[in-house]
Amino acid sequence: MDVAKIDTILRKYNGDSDFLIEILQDVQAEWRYLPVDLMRHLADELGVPLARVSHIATFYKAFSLEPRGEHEIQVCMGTACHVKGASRVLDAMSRELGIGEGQTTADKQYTLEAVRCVGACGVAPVVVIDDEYHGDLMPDASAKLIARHMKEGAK
Amino acid sequence: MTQINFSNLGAAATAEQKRLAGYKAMLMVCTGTGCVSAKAFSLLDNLKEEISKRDLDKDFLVVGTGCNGFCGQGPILVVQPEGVFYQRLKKTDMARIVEEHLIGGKPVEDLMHRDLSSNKPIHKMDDIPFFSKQKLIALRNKGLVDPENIDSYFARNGYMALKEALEKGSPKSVLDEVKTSALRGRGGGGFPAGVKWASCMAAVEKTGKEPVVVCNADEGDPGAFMDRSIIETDPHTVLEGMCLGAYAIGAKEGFVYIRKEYPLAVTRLEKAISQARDRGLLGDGIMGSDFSFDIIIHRGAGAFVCGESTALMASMEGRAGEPSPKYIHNVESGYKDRPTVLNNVETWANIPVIVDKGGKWFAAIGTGDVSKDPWGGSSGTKVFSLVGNINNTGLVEVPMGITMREIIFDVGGGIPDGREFKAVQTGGPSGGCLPASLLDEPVDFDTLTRAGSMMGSGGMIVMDDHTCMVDVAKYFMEFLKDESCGKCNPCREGTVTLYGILDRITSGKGVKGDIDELERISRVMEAGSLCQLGATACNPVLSTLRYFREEYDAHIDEKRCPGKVCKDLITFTINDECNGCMVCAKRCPTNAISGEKKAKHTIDQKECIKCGICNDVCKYDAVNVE
Amino acid sequence: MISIAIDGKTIEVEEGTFLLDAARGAEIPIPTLCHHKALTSDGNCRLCLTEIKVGGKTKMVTACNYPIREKIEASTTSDKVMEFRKDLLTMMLARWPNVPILKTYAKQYGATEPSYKHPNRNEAEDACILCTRCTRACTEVAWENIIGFEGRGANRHVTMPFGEQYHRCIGCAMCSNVCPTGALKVYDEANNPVDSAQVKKYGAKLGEEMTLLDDDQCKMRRVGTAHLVEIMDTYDLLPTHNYKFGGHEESHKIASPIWTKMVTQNTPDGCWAGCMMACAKCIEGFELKTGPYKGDKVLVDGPEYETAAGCGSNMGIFDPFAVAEINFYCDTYGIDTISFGTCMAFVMECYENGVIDKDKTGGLELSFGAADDSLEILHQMARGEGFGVTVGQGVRKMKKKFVEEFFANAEFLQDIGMECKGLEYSEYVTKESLAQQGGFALASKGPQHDEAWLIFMDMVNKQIPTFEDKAEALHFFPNFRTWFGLMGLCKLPWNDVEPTNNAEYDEPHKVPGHLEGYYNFYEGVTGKKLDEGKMITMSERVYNFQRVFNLRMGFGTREHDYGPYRAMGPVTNEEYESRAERYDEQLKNVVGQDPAGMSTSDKKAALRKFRETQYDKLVDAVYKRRGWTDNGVPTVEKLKSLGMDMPWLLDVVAKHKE
Repeated sequence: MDVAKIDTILRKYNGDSDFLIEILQDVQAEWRYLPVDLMRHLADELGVPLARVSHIATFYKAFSLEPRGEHEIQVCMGTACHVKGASRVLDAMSRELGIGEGQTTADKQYTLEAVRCVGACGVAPVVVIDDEYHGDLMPDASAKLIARHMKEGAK
Repeated sequence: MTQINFSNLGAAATAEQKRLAGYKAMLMVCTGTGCVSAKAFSLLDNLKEEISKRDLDKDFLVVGTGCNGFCGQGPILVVQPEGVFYQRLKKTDMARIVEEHLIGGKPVEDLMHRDLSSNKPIHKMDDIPFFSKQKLIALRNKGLVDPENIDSYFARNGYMALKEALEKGSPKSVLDEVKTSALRGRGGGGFPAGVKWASCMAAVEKTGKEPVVVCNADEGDPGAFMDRSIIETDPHTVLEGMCLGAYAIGAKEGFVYIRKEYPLAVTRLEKAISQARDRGLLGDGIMGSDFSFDIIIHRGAGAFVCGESTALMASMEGRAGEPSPKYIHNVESGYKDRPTVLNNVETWANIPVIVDKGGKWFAAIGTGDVSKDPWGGSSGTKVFSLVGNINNTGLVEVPMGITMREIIFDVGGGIPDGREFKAVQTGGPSGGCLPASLLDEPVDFDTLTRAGSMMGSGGMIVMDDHTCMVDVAKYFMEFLKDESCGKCNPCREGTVTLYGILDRITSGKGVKGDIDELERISRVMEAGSLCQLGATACNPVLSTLRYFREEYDAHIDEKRCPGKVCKDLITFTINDECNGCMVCAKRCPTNAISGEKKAKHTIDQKECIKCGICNDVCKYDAVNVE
Repeated sequence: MISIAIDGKTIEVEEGTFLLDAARGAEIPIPTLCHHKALTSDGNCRLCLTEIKVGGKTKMVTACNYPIREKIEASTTSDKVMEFRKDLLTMMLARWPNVPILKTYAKQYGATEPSYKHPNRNEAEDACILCTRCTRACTEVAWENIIGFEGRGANRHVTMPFGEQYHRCIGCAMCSNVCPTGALKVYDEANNPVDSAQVKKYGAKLGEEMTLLDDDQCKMRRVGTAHLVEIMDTYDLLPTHNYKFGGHEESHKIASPIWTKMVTQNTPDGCWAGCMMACAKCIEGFELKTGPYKGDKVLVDGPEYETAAGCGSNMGIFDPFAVAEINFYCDTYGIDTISFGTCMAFVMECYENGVIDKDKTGGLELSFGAADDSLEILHQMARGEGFGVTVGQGVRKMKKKFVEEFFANAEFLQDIGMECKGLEYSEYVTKESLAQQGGFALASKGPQHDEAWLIFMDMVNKQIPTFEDKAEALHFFPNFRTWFGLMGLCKLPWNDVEPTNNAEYDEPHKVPGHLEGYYNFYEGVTGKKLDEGKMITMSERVYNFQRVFNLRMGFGTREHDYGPYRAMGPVTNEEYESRAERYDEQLKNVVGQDPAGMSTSDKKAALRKFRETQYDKLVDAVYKRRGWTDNGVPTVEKLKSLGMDMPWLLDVVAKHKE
């Protein structure tokens, strides 16, 4: 456990437990998941019950108790995307990566997620890969996109 | 950094206006999320490079703006002040625009929007039908300000309403304008903002506790992105609105609760708050007055239920976002049990204009008579995200009372690919699906509710005849069962059960009595859920049952999906149009398609997983879906 | 009051009353699953949904948390309500088909299991129905947050953090006590009681009583024992200036509102199942001003009442920070706060009367209220330096030293030196309670409050008027409390919260309802039955053994059962005059001597004579009840009757035969 890193995060929020959710988001971003021993440490430092931390960690979609992949692939499941075939896009991505929704590839490279509306409905269907938006992405194109991404990553 | 006060705000605005007037033209590149997904940022860099290369930096200013609204056509560039609109731009187009238009004086017609029927290029943005029927209040600065530069907001009269209120008005005068405007909350419920503010003030009087103002930017409705766009486009209008609200009710603290899924909006908002603090527009003694107010951002972590006010408060206090049942409203006891005014982004964005132009001016726009009772009608404009199966997708702001038909067919340009309109979904997961027979109804809070849907935050998802309404209901229920916090029985058990029944109907296993069961469960949820998420969760089911009952019957009785969507009820076959191009066979993920080159292909039904890719990639309409 | 109608029945309720409470008060049943009277309403089961008409509108509200603020008409059995209950229970049956409470309600409202299968179906009879009673009990009753929820929607479930046993859980069992289905079980593996169900049953009752009653009775949970400061002050029992007075105008400065603000730790100690008393309190982050840890921020364990009174009012100190600092250093040095307070109060009175002066104290000014110099004495005691060495030897040795070396008036020092058998008095003024004078001075180990505390019984509630009554109390309570010590049980759950129906019992001062609780607990742990007789016999053996032990050590006879006169009445004229009205009245009506025209000294002497005689009579009565000789020696018969006629005990007793 890298205490210095956690302390930096805690300092950013003045150790104020009102910002527990933000603090956990920063931890998630840094570690790609929420390690349990780290949450224990946070609970002690912030003086909040561990049960509150564990509730938050399992309540909000942003958090994961298992390490997520190097790259996060988020398929938008908003209504606009749905009527334009988002679930078919998700299926295509899932086939290409060989993992189901919510899973991470064995090499810890990719995590595939179906997410709530990302607010880019004008260019539906949308896929977000590591914060980069890809719009008007039909199933076939999405499979190609992943194939390309994996190939580039391999280089 | 010059501190803004009553006497120098006007000068700051003029200085910026003068600076901008010094350019021959301003090149407004949309950097809203839709355009960014189409590489708008690299385009912006290209454009700057092309201009610098030709040493034209003094003549032309390149600005990255927030969302222009016409997202379906991105990336977008608007040349101001003449208003020439370019769309679907590529990297190579930048040099042409600089050479031909900026230097040569001849706008590039083949990069312009074309009229849907005549196919003629339209030069000016304002002449494009998508824009011409709009009336901009909340979005008044879209595409015209640099969201990361507070001075550009000054140049658009920014913070002037606040200055006037602080200098010449009073908290009461601000409240009175908002009351007169009859502005109803744009977040979903449509509760009159003035009434809310006044009851908060009454609670402050009663409890002696310090009030707070909160901006709900946890835009949860799928298919709605106006709050995101407003913040990304014009963050200061939200801040100014909140300042005015805080001044009216006497709050010193304000919060914005924003989804972490909106990183660009978070960044721009943070920047805007820090600039406002630096210039003395937030913090102690704003503009030299004795009014002090500051704003703190809380980032949500992904929970639709946080749109429920009590869940949102819990989340802001650093707890899991579960609603709490209470018969005491937030205006009395909200954030940390303090009187709390919660309005959403669009509501706050309207406030500076209402204070500036007057409540009467605002109330004159829209429907109904609101002079005596804010519930008498729907005043002002409403921003809608017009998306789904529609030609002109994007964000539009139209006066309340406009008909659905005008929005979908005039502004939105109708349904693409020659398909038929089937339904429009409004109000997000709490709303409903409205059929073609209601197209001529006016769009306002009360009409939509009467029709079994609701205004919600303004998502308007258009569906064509290739949409299955049972599938749409199932889609919403899947969403809601995942987003139900699980606290109360009706919602937790109801959403799961409704989903289960809809799933069995769409898989062709529906039985007689399923529809009764759907209705019975819906009634329990409606009457008994702890919060509005649960109480309205049945709306997608009830509204589709009300208007599209025959589709349910087709699934249950005939095991047929009229929209040709439900996988278990459709088959893919290849017809005689097939010329053996082999594209589908190559792209089929299960190698279910076989056939020689230049000969008709066939699909092995045992292998087919009904992914629909063959149909997507076929250019010859050779795939039948039955 | 608001007049409302429920099912046509008109009732008057206070504004803010919850509809459910109003209905139940009127004996109109409304079904609930998540509601529990000891917990805040959560309104999550929704079964109590009731139709109301308010302001011309009809709506459905949850009765458990709907506050009545205006005139309403409620219907608990309208068609809409009945249909809702039936449909809701149907949905729940799909998930939990076999839970008895659901089945009972389902039968009542005509719900049957539906055709659809719930993906999270749980067929257990003791399935968790997610009512949140347990998690609320954990936070609201135990003031913890150990069990909580994880997940959302259909995956929401009760758990300790991350599904692991959490070290903070002390097994208080409040969660399982309130669970309506038995889904939550607390396993007592370490203590292995014979019948854990009986222990739990007792614990549940105790926990519920404390949660519901303590806030109105003793506030032990919120304030701890320090709540007694203002009560003692009100009843003239708060020792002030070495027990001269029973209260002080500044006592509010060390009263419970002050401590409530300073105290930060409110956690039930979990000494035994069900005890939610949370009597232990502490001040965190307290910055010390003196001593070896000066400037450090420390945790002060306390203060309890005895500390607040002993190191506060009795020393004339009304500065809560000084009291807390003395508290901390006493704990740190291993010095008892009661002994320190009573010793210092004695020193201060001596100082103010010129018995000692600055020369003798090493320059310290030890008048009442001298907080800084008192702390210096405390540090000296720890270091073994200066005048601290003298004070550290206790009141008995100080009296001797002051008489022998400083030529003080021995009688005066005997009257005001608050010790008996060499132990300093605990912090109650006993002048007006004869029974308590005995409770202190007759106690085996010296005047310590844990053997018998009879002041309220005697003075306020007047439950023990005669000598025989008092003697009975001085037989029963010391033995009863000895029993607590024998079992290693705390006495606070016995009478610091009393059952609401306590007054209906024959001997309410014994809190019989709670004695039964102790019997049940004992039986649950050991498997053996217990009653009052058995309990007292167990204690009497030990109590008489202690007496024989005292005898052997030279402290067990009558002469050692007399305390200083200050414990009985006013020593000085100043003391007499401060309560002249009370004493005059006693002289006139009880002693039969008209005080009119008498000097204060004469009146004082007359009162003293009377009170000392009374005490003699009390001692006689107590010895008789205890089966002891007039000299306070256990008789051979008594020892025999207790099965304690071992020769090595009889030998000691024989030496004291008159």
